[in-house]
Amino acid sequence: MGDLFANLYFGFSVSLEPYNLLACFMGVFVGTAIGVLPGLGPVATMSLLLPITIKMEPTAAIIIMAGVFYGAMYGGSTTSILLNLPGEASSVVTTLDGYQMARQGRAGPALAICAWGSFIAGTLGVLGITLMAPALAEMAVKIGPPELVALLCLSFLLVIQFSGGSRPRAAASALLGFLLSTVGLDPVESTPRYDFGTFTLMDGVGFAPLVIGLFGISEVLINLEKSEKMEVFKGRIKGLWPTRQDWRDSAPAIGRGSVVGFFMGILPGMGTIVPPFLSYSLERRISKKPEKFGTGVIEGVAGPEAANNSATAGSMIPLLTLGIAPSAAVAVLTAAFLTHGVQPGPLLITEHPAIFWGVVTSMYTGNALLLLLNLPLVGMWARLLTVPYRYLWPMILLFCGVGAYSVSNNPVDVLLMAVFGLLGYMMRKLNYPGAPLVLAFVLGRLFEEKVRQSLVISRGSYETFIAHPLALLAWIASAILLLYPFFMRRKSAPHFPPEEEE
Amino acid sequence: MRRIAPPAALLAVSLLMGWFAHRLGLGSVNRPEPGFFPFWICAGLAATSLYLMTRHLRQSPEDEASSEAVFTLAGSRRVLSVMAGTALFGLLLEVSGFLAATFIFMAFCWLVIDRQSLLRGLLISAVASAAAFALFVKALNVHFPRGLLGF
Repeated sequence: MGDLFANLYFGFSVSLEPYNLLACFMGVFVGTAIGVLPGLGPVATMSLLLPITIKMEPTAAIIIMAGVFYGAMYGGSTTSILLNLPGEASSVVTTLDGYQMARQGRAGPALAICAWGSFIAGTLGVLGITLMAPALAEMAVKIGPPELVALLCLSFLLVIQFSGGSRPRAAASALLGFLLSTVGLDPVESTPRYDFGTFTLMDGVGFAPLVIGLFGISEVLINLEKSEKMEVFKGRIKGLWPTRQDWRDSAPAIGRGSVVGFFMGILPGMGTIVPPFLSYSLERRISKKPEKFGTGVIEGVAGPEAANNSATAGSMIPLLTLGIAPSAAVAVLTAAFLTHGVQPGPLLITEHPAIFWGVVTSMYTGNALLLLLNLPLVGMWARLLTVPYRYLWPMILLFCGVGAYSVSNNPVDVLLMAVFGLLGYMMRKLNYPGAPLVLAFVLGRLFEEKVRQSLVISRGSYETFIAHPLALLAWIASAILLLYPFFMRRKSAPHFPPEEEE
Repeated sequence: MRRIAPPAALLAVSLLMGWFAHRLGLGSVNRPEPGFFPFWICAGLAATSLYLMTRHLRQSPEDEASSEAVFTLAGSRRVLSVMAGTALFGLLLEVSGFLAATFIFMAFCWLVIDRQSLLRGLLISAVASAAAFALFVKALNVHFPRGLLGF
C-alpha cells in the first residue's frame, strides 16, 4: 500500500507539471467538443492528433490522447439529451430517457447527473486501474509467445462477437485487417511483401491514413447523405444541481454502472458501446417501475453514462498490462505509444514509470476538469451545436488530410486515406464493422511474430499452443465463443447496435 | 444479387493476395517463411467470403431487397466528388504548396459540392485557408512542401 501511495505521489508530480496539465486540459476540452459534435468521433480525432503530438514529450502526448478518449464520453451525452441524437455511439442509450427528461423541462438535472455520474464512474475506473494494473502487469511478464497467441485469438473472437451485426462480416473485416498488416517488410526476415515495387508500401500501410480514412472520412460521407436538420433544444437549461431525490434515485445506478462498465471495458470487443446497454437493461430489470423506463427516468441516464465512462478506464487495463488494444480507440492509443518508441505492456511500469503513473494520475485530474467543463459551460457546448454542418465538413476533411500527411510527410498517404475513406463508407453502408479491421491491423504484426516464434521454438509442434494452463483456458474460452451461436440460435440474443465509432 | 458483390470482391482479393503469398514462399511448420501467415489469412478470408456468398444466394428476393444498402445516384455522385476533392488535395500539396492546395480544396468543397454562391464560397475558402495556414504551419510547425509559390 505504501508503494501505491508513493507511486501515486510520483504520478501526480508528473501529471501536475504545467505542460502535462495543459496537455490534459487540451485533451479533455477537444474530447468534449468532438463528443458534443455529431460527425467526428474520438477514434478519428485521436488519429488526427497523432501526427501533431509526435513532437511533444511522450507523457504529454499520451495524456492528451487519453483525454480525448474519455472526454468524448462526457460530451456525447449532451447531444443525446438536448437533440435526441447521440454525439457518440456510446451515448445511444442516454437518448431514451435523457431526451424525455429534456422535453419535460428537466434537461438541467439530466445533464448534471450525466456529468456527476461520469465523474464518479470515471474516477472509480481510474482507481481500478491504479489498484489492478501493477499486479496484472507483474503476472503478464511471465506470459510467453504461445500464451500471447491464445490471448490474442480470444481477443479477436470477442471483438468479432460483440462488434454488432453479422459475425461473418465482422470476421471478414478482421481478416482484411490482418491482411493489411502484412503489407511491408515481414517482421522476422524483413522480406518485402505486397509492396508492388513502391517505397511507400514497403514501409507498410500507415496507421493514420487507415484510421482517419475508415472513421473520419467515412463519417463525413455518411453525414453528407443525411439531409434532415437537427432540432436544437432552445429552452433555458436550469437546475444544474440535482435535487436530493435525484441523487437518491441515481446513486445506486451510478455505482452499478461503474462496476458493470469497468469490468466489461476490460473485455476485448466490448468497447464503450455495449456496457451502457447492459447497464440500462440491468437498471430496468431491478427497478420497481420498469414500465417508466423510456419516459424520462433519471436512473436510465445515470447508469449508462456511468458505465460508458468507467468502460474507458477498464479498456486501458489490457493495453497497460498486456499491450493488447481491446477497442479501436485504444488501438489508436497503442499507436501513440509506439510512435514515441514506448512499447505498452507488462514492462511499461518498470521501464517507463513516469509515463505509466503520469497518464494514470492525469485521468483523475482530467475527470475533475471535465466536471468543471461540462457543468458550468454546458450552455457553451449547446451553442456549439448550432454551427451548421455545411460549414464544418470541409474543415473536418482538411484536418483529416493534414493528419494523414504529416505523420510521414508523404502526399501518397493523403491518397491512401481517400481510398480507405471510400472503403470505410462502403463498409458502413454494407454493415461491415470497422473496429475488427483496425484492431487486427494494429495487432496483426505482433500476432504473426508470436505465431512464428512459437512454431520455431517448438520445432513446428502445435502442442506448444496448449501447453500452458493460461493458453489452454484462453482456447477453451475461444471454443465456447465459437460454438455459442450454434447452441443459442433458437434463443433470442441481446441485440446491440452496429458499431459506428468509439 | 447485388448483395453478393462485396463478398465476391473479398474472395477475389483473397485469391489474388493468396497467390502472391504462395509465391513468397510458405516454408514449413517448423520454419515458416514470409508467405506463411498471409497465405493462411487469405485462406480464412476466402472461406468467410464463400460462406457470405452462399448465405446471400440462399436469401429470398424479398429478404434481399429489404436488407439492400441504399446507394442513390445523387449520394454516390457526392461521395465521389468528395473523394476526388480529397485526392486532388493530396496531388496538389506537392505542386502548389499547402496554402494554395488548401484554398483550391476548400473552394471545391464549398462551391462545387455544397453549391454556395461564388463570392461567399471564395470568401470563406480564403478565411479558412488562412486560418489553417496559421494553425498548422505557423503555430504547430507542421512541415509542408513549399510548392511553386514558395509557401
